[in-house]
Amino acid sequence: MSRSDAYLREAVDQVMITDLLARYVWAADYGTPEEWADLFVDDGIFGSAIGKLRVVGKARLKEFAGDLQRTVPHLHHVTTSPKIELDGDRATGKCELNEFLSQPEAIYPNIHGWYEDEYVFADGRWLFKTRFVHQPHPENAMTGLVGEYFKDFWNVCRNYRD
Amino acid sequence: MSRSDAYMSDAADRVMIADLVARYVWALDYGTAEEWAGVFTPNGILQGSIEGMPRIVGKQRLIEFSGDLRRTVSHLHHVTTSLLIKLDGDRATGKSQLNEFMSRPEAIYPCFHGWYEDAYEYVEGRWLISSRTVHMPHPENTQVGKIGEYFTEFWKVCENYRD
Repeated sequence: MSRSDAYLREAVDQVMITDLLARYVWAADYGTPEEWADLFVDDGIFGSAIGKLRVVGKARLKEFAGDLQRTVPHLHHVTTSPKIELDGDRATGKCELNEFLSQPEAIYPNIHGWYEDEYVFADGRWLFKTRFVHQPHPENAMTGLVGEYFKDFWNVCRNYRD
Repeated sequence: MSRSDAYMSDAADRVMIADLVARYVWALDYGTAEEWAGVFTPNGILQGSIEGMPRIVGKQRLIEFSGDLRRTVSHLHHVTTSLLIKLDGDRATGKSQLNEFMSRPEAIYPCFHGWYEDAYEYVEGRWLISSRTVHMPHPENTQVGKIGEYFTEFWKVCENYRD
């Protein structure tokens, strides 16, 4: 059975949004704050229900990425199973997030949640319009030894209630 | 906005390289040594980025190493995510995050937190790995505690692989 043009178009957009998701992870975990912020549109928003975190616009996104990398280095944002709904040059999506913190003595799972996103296709590429983090058990990163490692990060989040 | 032919071709190559990366994982975690070596070019290279990590060159040595890995550290999952690819015609480079887990009756151990950096070649209608380098910020993760005990034999056998 042949594949329609619409089917092929959907598949390639799915691939390229998946590429955007990968770029996000590499920028956050091993890249620069500029690289991370550049994956968003100019008035892009990153937020979380936890701690009322909300970061709006490229300059603030860049500051936040710097603070994240400074306060909690050696993270892996493991994002899997992207589920993308396409609508022309816009799309929404979600993917599971399992985050791990590497320290010399052990690797700590610290987030078990998901991202919910909006994307925009502009100038030949997909970008984030919004990304929100959801966590059923935010206390995973607030208690015990993991909580100790995240303490500075939660303090700095108070500066981001845009 | 329409999608150009270059955009479509780019996406197709990305999917097929992602398929290669998945075949690597399945071959290593549940397949045969020959299947795993078969995802490399004939003179393909697997190496680590730090001292003490192995360097294996060519299909025969890859087959041997795969057998030693399975024998010394069984029941691993090489969870590779966020594949980032740069295409250049029939060649490409890529990197993916690697989070490895070891299953034992008493627990599942996160044992590796690092990444792969790869070079790929498009040969006779399919992509193959010409080199894969394993990076590991905290190699002590597999050298201390209970995980260290499970990995002791693996690190010893790695001494035979400095091609």
